[in-house]
Amino acid sequence: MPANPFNGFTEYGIGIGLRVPHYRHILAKKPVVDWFEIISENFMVDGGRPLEVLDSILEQYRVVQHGVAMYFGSADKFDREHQKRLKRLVKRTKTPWLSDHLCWGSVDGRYTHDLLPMPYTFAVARHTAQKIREARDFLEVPICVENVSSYAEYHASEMTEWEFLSEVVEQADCGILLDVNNIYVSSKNHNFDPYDYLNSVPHHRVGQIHIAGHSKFEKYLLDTHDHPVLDPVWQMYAHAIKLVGGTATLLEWDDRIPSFDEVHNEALKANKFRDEQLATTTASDQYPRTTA
Amino acid sequence: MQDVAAEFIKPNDRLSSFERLEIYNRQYWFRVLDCLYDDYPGLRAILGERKFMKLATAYLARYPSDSYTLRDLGNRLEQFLQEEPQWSAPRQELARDMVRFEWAQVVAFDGPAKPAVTPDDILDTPLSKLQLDLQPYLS
Repeated sequence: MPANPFNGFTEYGIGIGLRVPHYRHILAKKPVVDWFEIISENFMVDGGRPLEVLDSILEQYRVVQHGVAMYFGSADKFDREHQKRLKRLVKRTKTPWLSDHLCWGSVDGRYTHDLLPMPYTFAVARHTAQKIREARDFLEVPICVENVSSYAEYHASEMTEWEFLSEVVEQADCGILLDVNNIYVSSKNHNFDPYDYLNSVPHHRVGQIHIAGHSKFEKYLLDTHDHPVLDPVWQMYAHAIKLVGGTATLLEWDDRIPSFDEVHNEALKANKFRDEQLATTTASDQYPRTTA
Repeated sequence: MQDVAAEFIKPNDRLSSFERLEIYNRQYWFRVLDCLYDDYPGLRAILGERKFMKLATAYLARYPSDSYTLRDLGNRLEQFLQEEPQWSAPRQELARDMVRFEWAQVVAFDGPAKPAVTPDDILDTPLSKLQLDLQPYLS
């Protein structure tokens, strides 16, 4: 359902990422945008221009935080400095939920700055869920964990990716940031039906959706976030909306970033699918009867 | 290396285990080299593009990222130039000065700041007690 415990019971609509090339336009023109997503690590600083811009944005817009460095799947313990800075930022933005990725990316204090897939095993699911619970307890904000695009699979995996995601979020009792483009990219790289993935995850835990573009190479797809959303991904998004309702949706465009208007117009295409879903919802779906 | 990759990564119908691992390797180097490329335009101008990329690659091999943020990627570059001056020859001193300056810019961009002094602050303070300091991100 759109408003649920994993997005702080909010009903946010279509958002876009807050990106440096758009700062001037947003601060000068004050366009109507339902919400912005920020990359937490870009604002976990002590001062200067990043926080000056963020505070100006917070005066007029709703902001949700999305992280790239919690590495729930890493064997290392959390970086305490990272966690403390993240918590300060959570208090500053009042983000209704916080997301990060179902991945690992650091070992022995060395960072890849990438979102690496894990072997899908029960032991890894237990470890990852434990770290998510620990993060949530410290940060005191609902957490949604995002499925990543991947280019490799492990011999050690005991289950499918969607079974693994489901296992992790149930054990962690956390939400899902359902990245529809990542499902599509991974489905092509690993030869599975993306609709099996969409149909199988616990829909009541989806707190947010991501859509994005990607790049096609001869033998694989790469999650580049530098193109418009492709038609197969829009079709998957429409299906996702039927399954989870009109959930907060964010268009990611992180490289070769065009004008603000072009990015925002691309994001607003999602409204078409949300409106169609709402139109097919019956009255009884909207106002379920309760028995005394 | 092919055998090592094959031990833990599955191949698919298009790519070998090693080729799948190689995607991540390529992306890693694109990402970190791109970051240094953006942060050190002055050093690039001094060394030239080719020499800069060789230096950056050697630096990152010796000092891979130890921070959750790419902002800190260049935090040991001056130290590296001191330890291995051959990468910036024959302009070692100029290169070190430029790295110090460009790293200082990274620090200043998002460092902590105290409230700036105002004309009223100056007018309201007796001259004998007036003390001005630089912002912490400059010192």
